[in-house]
Amino acid sequence: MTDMPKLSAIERTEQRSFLLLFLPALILVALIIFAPLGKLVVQSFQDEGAFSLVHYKRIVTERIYWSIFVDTLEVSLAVTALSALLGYPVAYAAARASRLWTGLILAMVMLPFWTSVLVRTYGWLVILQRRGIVNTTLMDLGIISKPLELSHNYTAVLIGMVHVMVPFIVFPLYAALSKIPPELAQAGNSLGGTRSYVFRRVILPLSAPGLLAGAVLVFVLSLGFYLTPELLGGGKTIMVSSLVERNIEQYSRFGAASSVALSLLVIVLAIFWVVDRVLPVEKIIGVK
Amino acid sequence: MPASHFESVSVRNLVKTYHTFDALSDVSLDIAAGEFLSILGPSGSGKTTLLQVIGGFTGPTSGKVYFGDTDVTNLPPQKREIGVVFQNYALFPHLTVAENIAFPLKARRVGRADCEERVAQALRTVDMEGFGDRPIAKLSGGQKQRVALARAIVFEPRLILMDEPLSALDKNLREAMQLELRNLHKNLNATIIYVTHDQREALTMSDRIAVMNKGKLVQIDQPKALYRAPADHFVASFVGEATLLPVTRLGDRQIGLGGATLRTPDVTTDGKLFVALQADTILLCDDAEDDADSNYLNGTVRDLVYQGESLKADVVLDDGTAIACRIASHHYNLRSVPELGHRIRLKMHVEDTIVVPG
Amino acid sequence: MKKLQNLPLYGVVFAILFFLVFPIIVVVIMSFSDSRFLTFPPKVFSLRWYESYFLDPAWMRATRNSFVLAILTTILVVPVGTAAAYGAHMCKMAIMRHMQLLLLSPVIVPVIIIAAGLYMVYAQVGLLATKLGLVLAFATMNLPYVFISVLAGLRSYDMAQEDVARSLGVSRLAAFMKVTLPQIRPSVMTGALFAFIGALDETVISIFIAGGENQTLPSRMFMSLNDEIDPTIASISTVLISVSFALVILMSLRSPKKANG
Repeated sequence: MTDMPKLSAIERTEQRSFLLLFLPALILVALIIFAPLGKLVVQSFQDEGAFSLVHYKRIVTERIYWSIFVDTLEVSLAVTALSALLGYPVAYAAARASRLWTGLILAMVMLPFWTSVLVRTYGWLVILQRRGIVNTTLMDLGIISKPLELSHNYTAVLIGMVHVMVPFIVFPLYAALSKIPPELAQAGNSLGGTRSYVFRRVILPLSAPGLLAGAVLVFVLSLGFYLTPELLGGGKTIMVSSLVERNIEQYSRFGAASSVALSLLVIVLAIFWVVDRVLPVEKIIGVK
Repeated sequence: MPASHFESVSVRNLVKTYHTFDALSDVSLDIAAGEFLSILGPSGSGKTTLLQVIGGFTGPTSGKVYFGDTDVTNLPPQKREIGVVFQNYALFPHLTVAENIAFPLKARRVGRADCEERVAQALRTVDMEGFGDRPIAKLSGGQKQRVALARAIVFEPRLILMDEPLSALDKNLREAMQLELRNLHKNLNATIIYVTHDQREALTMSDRIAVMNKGKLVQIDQPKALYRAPADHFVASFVGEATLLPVTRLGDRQIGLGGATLRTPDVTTDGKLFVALQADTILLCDDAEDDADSNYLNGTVRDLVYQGESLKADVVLDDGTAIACRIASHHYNLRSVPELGHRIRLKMHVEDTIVVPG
Repeated sequence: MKKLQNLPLYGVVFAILFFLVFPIIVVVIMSFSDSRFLTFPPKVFSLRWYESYFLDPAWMRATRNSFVLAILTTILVVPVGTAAAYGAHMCKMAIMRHMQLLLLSPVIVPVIIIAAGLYMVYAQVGLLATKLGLVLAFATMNLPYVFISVLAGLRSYDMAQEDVARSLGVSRLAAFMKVTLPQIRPSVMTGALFAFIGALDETVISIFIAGGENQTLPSRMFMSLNDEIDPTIASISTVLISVSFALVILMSLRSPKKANG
């Protein structure tokens, strides 16, 4: 990469043919990703056939709009923090356990990972709803007399999203942690460090890139997440994604939907742009 | 086996420019048909780039490559008819031994019966009869080496290129394979271009050796000549493992070192000069000895290290220059080995007193 | 002593793992329940929800659609993604990194944004609820996974083999087909698996652009979940989980040497 040869004639032809191999993929991306993005840009700056900034103004001025952006950021941050909290011990145990246990732990992370988000959300509905498992069990045990509101609220959305996101943290973290030789911790202990000291000063810094990769991925995925908030949120518009969907499907307000979608995209790209300085985007994406 | 299919190779003014440096700068080279030529150099010297250009895997920025009289510079590798053996053998792991060897024949649509016979013949040549059905993963390093060789010769190429093919083998096997390669070369009368960074390997096997450094061809000569008359400082240190000491030119055939005047076969150039001292050409001698063909040096023994078959003595010459000499550790010698701190007299043949430009 | 020290950690880990698999276990057990109501564990077991799935023509059509679309998507995206990965691996030009980032855009851009834009574009050109429109969208969404998987395979593959093959007398294309492809096949298969399962599971895009004759299974499931909770979903979910897992296990059996991805 660093040293670009001045190419000879045959190599130039060959290099060009390699670029050509890339072309079909580029065409697909241009048609399916960039054409729609272009369409969104056009729509977002248009009102009744004329150029207008009204759709962007709405996001800033109307409380409903910007508060949904704030809520989305909040939910995404919470989901990221919780996923990291739950994912870390799992990745750590998988990296330190014997081969058999590592396999079992990773399999139990893979199971939800490979299961459709819809299926998992359905599972949480069954568990959390008014006549769901938790409520009926608690009522059968006589702990409560009438069902708790567990689903169709913020908490349910959080639980459902964390459940989806934990594997995305576990995989890069596991990759980073399993590369740390166990002798390092032993050396740290032998030098007089307590377990928590060694963890904070040795293990955590060394696993930081994996944690960062997972956390960025989870945060960005959460920002645009649609299914779980929609189904577990009980019809309340909690996330930006629902705002986009509602403006299209219910109100046919394409301009409003476009401006909201593009604002979200700008936030996501800004995050990638910042993180790219520390950790190449390809590294973050490459985890799946 | 008919030898006619091997050809001579000429490389004319090859240049390969990378962004910041020249991997090859103006390299010209002629290799006779049937010659075993080694390209010797440290890593980054351009030797692998040269092999890549001859093989057609990369094109030169400028310059030409000829096989016989044919200009092949713009031919892709598949049209060059060359057998290549890479460092890691690059055998196809999803094919058996026989399928690997048959690969170039199938590519040339050789008939089935003919193909089988030639594979069997190639296996015989490399002493691997009966291994045809083995999967590659089941072979030892030496066996892989032989299969790679068989695959490179089976289609009667014009030329065989080898890129450090023995470097993955352990020492004993490597030495055995060196001899086998030499014999194979003789039997096939093959044109072989052999890239290596191991000077002993190059000296053992080659008809001629081309020494490269920093993208330039520094010297091309027969092994003995290269060893005896290195073209410069670099060749002397790389090929002979010599200690190079700066010397002053005192006359046409005289240099000054360690307070003594030494005679040399020839000193042609002015400027910075070095004497290339090979530890094993410096011998102990009595105070009385005085021979017209010898140069004599006086010094003090600073250190003695026992190294098995020899003793290595660090000697400080009278003006403070440090040199090393190797004393074979048999008992005839041990009797006369001086002790630490004692005076010592050394001699070196005039013809071994090689002076090179810096 | 060491084991005892680790006990709290393993307790926590076990609890988290239980959290991860619990909803899936619940769904599978629910699918065999006899009750309309979501009692757990079910009082009586039956296959009635499997009957109401397999005997319902609308569900069956959506299922068939999804499988057909997933197969077509895989057929389209595997060669396209493999070619791109090969090109990216071999091309030394500086613009390559930017081109690669473009190719990763389907995973960088949030899917809801793509879905919204695609809905507007498809509505304009008449591709809404068509097989062509769906296959193109699904293929593009899963292109990065094929690309990444094949690229990883190529990076751990010794390209000198292709050079040798060419010196032995075959063209670059033939060298790729005969020497390279057989050896990176596990990576290509992994990419194909990602693409297939990804297309089968593509929900948000489906919600926006599938419909009518070309209704997909996830989009129908989503609508059904939004209306009322029909235990038929549990049986469908169990079938989907089984299919995904059968495929994943089949893959890991086929390439026991290393787990790619």
